Amino acid sequence: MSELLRVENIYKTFSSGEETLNILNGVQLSLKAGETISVTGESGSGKSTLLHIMGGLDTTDSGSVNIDGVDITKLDETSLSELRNKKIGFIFQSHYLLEEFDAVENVMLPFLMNNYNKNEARKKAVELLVKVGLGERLHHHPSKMSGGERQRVAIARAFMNEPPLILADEPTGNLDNKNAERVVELLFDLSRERGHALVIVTHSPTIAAMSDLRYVLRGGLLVQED
Amino acid sequence: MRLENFIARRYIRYSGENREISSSAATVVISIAVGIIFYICAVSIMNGYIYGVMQLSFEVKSFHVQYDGSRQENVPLTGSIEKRREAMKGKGYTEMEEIRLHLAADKEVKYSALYRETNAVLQYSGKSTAVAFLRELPEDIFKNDDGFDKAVRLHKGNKNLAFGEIMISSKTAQKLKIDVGDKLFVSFMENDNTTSVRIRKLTVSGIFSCGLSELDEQLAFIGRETGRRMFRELPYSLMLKLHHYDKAAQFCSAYQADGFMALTNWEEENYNELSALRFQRNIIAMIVILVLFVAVLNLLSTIHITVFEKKREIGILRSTGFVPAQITSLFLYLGLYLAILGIIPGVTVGLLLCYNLNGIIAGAGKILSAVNMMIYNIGNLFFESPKPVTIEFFSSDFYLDKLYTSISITEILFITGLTLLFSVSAALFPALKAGYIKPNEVLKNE
Repeated sequence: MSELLRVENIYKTFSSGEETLNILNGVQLSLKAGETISVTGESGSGKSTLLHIMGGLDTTDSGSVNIDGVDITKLDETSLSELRNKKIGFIFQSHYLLEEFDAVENVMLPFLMNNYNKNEARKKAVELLVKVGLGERLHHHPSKMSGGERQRVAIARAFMNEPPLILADEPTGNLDNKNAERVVELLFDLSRERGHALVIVTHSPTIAAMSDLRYVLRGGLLVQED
Repeated sequence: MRLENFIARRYIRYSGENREISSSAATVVISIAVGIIFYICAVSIMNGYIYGVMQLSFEVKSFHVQYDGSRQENVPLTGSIEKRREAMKGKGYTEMEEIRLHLAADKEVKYSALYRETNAVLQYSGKSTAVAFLRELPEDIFKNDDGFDKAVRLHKGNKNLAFGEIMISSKTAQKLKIDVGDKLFVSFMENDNTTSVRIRKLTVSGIFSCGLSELDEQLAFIGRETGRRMFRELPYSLMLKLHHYDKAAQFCSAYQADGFMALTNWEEENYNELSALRFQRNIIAMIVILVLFVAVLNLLSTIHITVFEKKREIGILRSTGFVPAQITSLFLYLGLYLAILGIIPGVTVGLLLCYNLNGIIAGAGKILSAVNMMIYNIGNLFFESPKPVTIEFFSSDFYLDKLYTSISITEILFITGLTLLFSVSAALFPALKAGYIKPNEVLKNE
């Protein structure tokens, strides 16, 4: 398998008044296409920050992040947005669905950004929603859905443009155990079935165990677990 | 652009579901609508007022177009005194009639007639005097010139300019303490070059009013035959009424190019009054525009609130590929749509109001009078009180027969465009701010 993501010597510090906090101290990571990895660590260890940096949502103090051979730390805002749209799918702890749109429309949005073909987008979004078990909820707005259903819509949205890389930031953090289990299974199944690489940030050892490789973020460094 | 437009329209459609946004958006829409209604009503009433006042003037005093026969054209700088004096007399009846026939052939001309005018002193029974602008007109003018007939409102007597008769204004009649059928003496000088004063005795046939005090204090009319007996050298002028009074300037320019240099239109004749009235209208329009500007400023806070409420959604849009400029344009669209939502009812209600203003005013007067009467009747059961007067918002004594309103499509487009411009400008700052929201800051886990 070819290398999809390469993170090299990432440093990130946060300043709070006179205090400087070194969150990431030279993080290294390599991820092959279709591979799934988990990142665990204590609260505040920088897991989400690392994920945001990998997705180009946050900046680094130094180091590089290569996605498909492109160093995203050197891209301008427009190129970075284009790359995010085509190569990365995000899933967050909260679903962050747009309340004004129904499930299908929420899923359609990433597709419509570079190809404003509503019919094609709708067809694809419906397929994905049926796949995640929401065939009966296509036209429900987020306020009329349960937490688990909303998160499944968010998963479908992340897969809509068939990005090679899925970044999931504690996707089950707001869900009860039953829903969390279902969502995670769905996430891993979809990634493996479609050959997408998955980086999942989690507190749960059970979820971490489902990935091909497990990493723990400790002292600002990413350490692989057996 | 299409996706931002799609999202902005959806935000508008569902804005009612967020109390903060909906109340703020409703305030913006209502205030823009009210501002536009104010503008349309104020400008159309002012336009109508200008038209109403000018109509009185151009129907009675200046006419749509006039050819001043006393204008001394081609006076030789050399030659005998007699020749120069002859040229300075102005144009006679035959010469002016030729000009009238030529101009009256134009299909734009509705009515044409020759007239003469001079200042005169009116005297009644040797006790009271008044100064008047005595105008000789054809006897049949009331029959053939609708505009003139309508503008000259008869108070007493009849609209008769038969030989030996004079029509005077109600103010002149008051001043002279004279009534219809009474005889008065008219003293006048034919021109500035003479010292001889002529005196004629005329019978008052009618007392009229035009409404405008300036006209009412000045005008007195006599018929052609009376004029012929009274005036010898007084030059004739030509009055023209056109089918479209607003084409008077165009008409004049066309004929001036053909050498009819003494032609003037009503706008030139009433330049000072017209300029003053237009200035008043523009000042009122500016004040209303300022009110509208303040109303549109509400949009700034609405977009601010929306950006604040939607910052996580902005974050997710950024994470799925939106660039800052797209986020900015999304909120500019939102501002634009809110403005359009205010403009549509504003223009509709504004136009409905101004086209039915007289009916609305009369209706409101009747309703208030009825309520007033009802209160009086109920009160009268318990105590005696004077009968209330009928409430009239638009008094029948007012010199305009009704409240004229007029607004052009250009003025509607102007205020629409200006509102959209104000709205986009007001939305720009919060929209730019939305574009600079950093997704990692708003998408942090709770």
